[in-house]
Amino acid sequence: MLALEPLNGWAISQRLKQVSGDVLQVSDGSLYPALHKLEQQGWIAAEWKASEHNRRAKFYSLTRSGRRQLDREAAHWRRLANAISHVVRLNQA
Amino acid sequence: MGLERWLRVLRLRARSLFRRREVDRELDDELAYHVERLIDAQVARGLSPAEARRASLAAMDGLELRKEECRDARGTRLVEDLVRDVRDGWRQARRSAGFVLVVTAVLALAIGGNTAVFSVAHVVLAPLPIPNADRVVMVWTEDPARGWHQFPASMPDMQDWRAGGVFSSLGAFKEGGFNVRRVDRTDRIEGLSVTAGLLEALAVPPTRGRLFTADETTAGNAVLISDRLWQDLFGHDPGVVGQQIVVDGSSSTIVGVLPAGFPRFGHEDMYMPLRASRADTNRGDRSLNVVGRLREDVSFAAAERRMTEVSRDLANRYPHEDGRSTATLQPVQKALVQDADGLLALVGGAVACALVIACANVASLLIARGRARRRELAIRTALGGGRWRLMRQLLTEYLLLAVIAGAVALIPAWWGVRAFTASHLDELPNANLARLDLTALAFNFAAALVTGVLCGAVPAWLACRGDAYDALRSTPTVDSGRLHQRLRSFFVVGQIALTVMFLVAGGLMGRSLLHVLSESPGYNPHGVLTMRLALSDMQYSSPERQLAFFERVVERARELPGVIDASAAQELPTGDDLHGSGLLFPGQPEPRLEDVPLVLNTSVLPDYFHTMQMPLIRGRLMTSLDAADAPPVALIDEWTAARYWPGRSAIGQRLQLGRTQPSREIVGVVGDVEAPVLVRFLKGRVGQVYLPLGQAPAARLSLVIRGVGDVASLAAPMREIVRGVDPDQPVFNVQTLVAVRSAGQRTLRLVTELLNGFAIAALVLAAIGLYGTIAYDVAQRTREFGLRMSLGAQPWAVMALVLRQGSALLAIGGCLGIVAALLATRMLASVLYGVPATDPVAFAGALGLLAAGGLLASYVPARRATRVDPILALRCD
Repeated sequence: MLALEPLNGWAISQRLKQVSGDVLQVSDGSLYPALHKLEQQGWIAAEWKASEHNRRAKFYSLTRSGRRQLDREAAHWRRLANAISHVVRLNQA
Repeated sequence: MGLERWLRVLRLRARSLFRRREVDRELDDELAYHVERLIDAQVARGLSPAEARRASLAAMDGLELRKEECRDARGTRLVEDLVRDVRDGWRQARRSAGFVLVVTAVLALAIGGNTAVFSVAHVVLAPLPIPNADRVVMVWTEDPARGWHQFPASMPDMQDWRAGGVFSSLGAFKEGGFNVRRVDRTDRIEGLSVTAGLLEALAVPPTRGRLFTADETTAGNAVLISDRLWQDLFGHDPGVVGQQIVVDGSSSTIVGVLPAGFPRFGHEDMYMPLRASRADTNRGDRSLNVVGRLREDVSFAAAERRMTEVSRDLANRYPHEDGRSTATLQPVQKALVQDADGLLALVGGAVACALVIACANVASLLIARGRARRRELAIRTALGGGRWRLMRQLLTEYLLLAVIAGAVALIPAWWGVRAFTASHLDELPNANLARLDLTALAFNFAAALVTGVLCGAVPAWLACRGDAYDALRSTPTVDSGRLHQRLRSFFVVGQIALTVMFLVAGGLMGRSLLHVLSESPGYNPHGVLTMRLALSDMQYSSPERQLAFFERVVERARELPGVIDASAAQELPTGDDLHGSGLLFPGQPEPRLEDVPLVLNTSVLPDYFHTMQMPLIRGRLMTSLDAADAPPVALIDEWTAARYWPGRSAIGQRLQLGRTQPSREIVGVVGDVEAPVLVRFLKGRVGQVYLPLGQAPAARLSLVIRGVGDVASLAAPMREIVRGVDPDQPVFNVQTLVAVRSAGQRTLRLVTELLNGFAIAALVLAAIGLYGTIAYDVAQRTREFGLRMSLGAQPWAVMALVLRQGSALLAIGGCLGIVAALLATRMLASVLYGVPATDPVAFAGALGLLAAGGLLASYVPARRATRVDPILALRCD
């Protein structure tokens, strides 16, 4: 999501619910520690900007190294997902 | 890619650390914004604002907890904890200033001692500034049958060794002094006479000028000077090379200056080519210290093998001189520091031991305190403090103490280094260069940290090991530390015993010193100025000319206003350069070599005894008639007369100093003079023989000039007199006889101070150990004391209870100590003066000091025991 545009925490949580069709239930509380961890690891960067509600809010955006890391993780995930789906299909067969 | 990311991370970390408040506020804002949006959303769904708020906060699963998680994500937790722990530790330290003061002092002394020794060792054992120093060796003569170990060599032997083919260059030096005159000033300078090959073997280039040319090494008046002499005598004059100076009466040219780090074999500051002499062809005249550089293609082991072959060959060819001797190699680095090695190992071992003892002591104190803080720690644990986290906190606290001690340690370290640099011990070459430099500071800091861990690890672990429940229970188990207690008592008793030993030894030495200082030395040292003269063989080749020179100087000295008497002696009593000889009795069967008694002997001018105000006991003094052509005579001291001619008069008896010396008739017995401390230490009491200078020539003498008023003012006119007789002769070591005497007692003083220093340190440590043990026990028994007092026990009774425990430890330790001291001080007997090794005063004094220190150490915790509030003690513990 951050790959598309910088978002603040609230927007991320809303977007997450929309995108996953409420399948992924990320609690409002656990989102922030995760974001902070990513920020501290340098994968995402944060800046303070005016929000859509005209309030100051912290917007996160993907850094360059973060994007690369995302690509790696995504590729890794796709491989894993592929593998799992193969296994599942095997089981069904 | 990594760099950009790491920079970003670093910036964030720094911000979290140094802008913590700002970062925290941002976190608050960020989460508040989220909650607001949630509330808005709930309100939009139709909830009342209050309900919306509750629901939103619930959705966050504990807002503060989340914040904490976010903070954890920053990765600076460890540092923040550390900062907090240090602050806590500092607060703890301030709360118990006395404790911290003691611990800091103990550790600082121990760490400082180690740092000082390290700084010195660092300089002394530093590799020599010689290119490929490991290829440079000393070559010694070894002959166990004659008791020669690392013995010098003769010129013919050296030449044959050189021909052995393992050295790229080989040379030798002889130690000695030179009389150096330049313009209007004459000085005595220590120096080496070197043969060709020596400087080449060392291969250190001069900083100015050049080394000796081949011509100069055989017949030249060329001089090389040390960097120090260049500074002291020539004020770093850049034009020093080429200058003319008069050395031993003949004009010489300075050809070069050697660098500051040039290896020194003694105190030399000057180097001259060794002059050829008759001794050069005498294979039995061994006076050369040989240094060689191994050829590059020859290993050390191969060189040793080859030298053994060469020695065997020489033994066959010259069975009389070299029959049983072999040549051995020793790396020059080892030769230069071999005395330092032992001394540093000894001193280093002592300070390391001191550090370990100090650590053990402090550790036992910390255990005691950890015990007292058990409740605090238990509460922390109960409130969720992890065990590891608590241990870390305690360790940080203890490390903080150690670091503070490390900082304070720089004071004793500085003092120690200064003491070393000022000591001018021959055993420690270059010790005067020791500094508290960066390396030493790094060592000091590392030592402090290690000390902190050594002291703190076990106490921290013990303190946190306890079960929180157990600690908080109304009746804590009492015996959980019994083994501990016993071990610590054992340890304390041992320490007390050692302390007593040191105190007794220190006391004995102190009393000896007092005796020496108060006792008459056998001559009147007051109002006498002494100075040394050394004639070179070059200028004064015959004994007659030497004697004439000295007699003229003494004669003129007598004519000076304010001078009562003047004379000269080869060696002054209590001097540090004494001549000993084997004492033989002509007409009696010659004893085995090891049974020949040693006597000190010195050549004197006839009126020496008069000038020194030494009494004649029997017979006659010397006169100017006891000259070279008269029958040989000798004077002895009372002790010698009583020792070797007991029950009869020694007058008219004969003695012989060494097999090659003439038989002399004893014509007089004079009073004893105090024995030089060093000789007493090494040989026990020895006799003293005086010979007339005319019959036993010496080229180096000390003048003794008795005057009225301030004798030091005689120095200038005396220099004038000597200059008038011969301007090439320097006057050196000008000092009053009182100063000479106290310099001779320096060893005794040093040993006394060292022993007493150890004794005091041991006493302090033992007192601290005792304090720790008893304080620990008192803390354990708080409840018991409370109970006793609530049942009517008087404070003094409780105090007596505690003191009794301390006294028991003191008594056991004291008794063991006395036994140990009785055994140990026997070794001191030979250096003691005027006191027996079993001197009751020293023993009583040691016990008194121990009792005072020990009772003080037990009194403090005992008083704490009486201050236990019975109600409090029974209620909460």
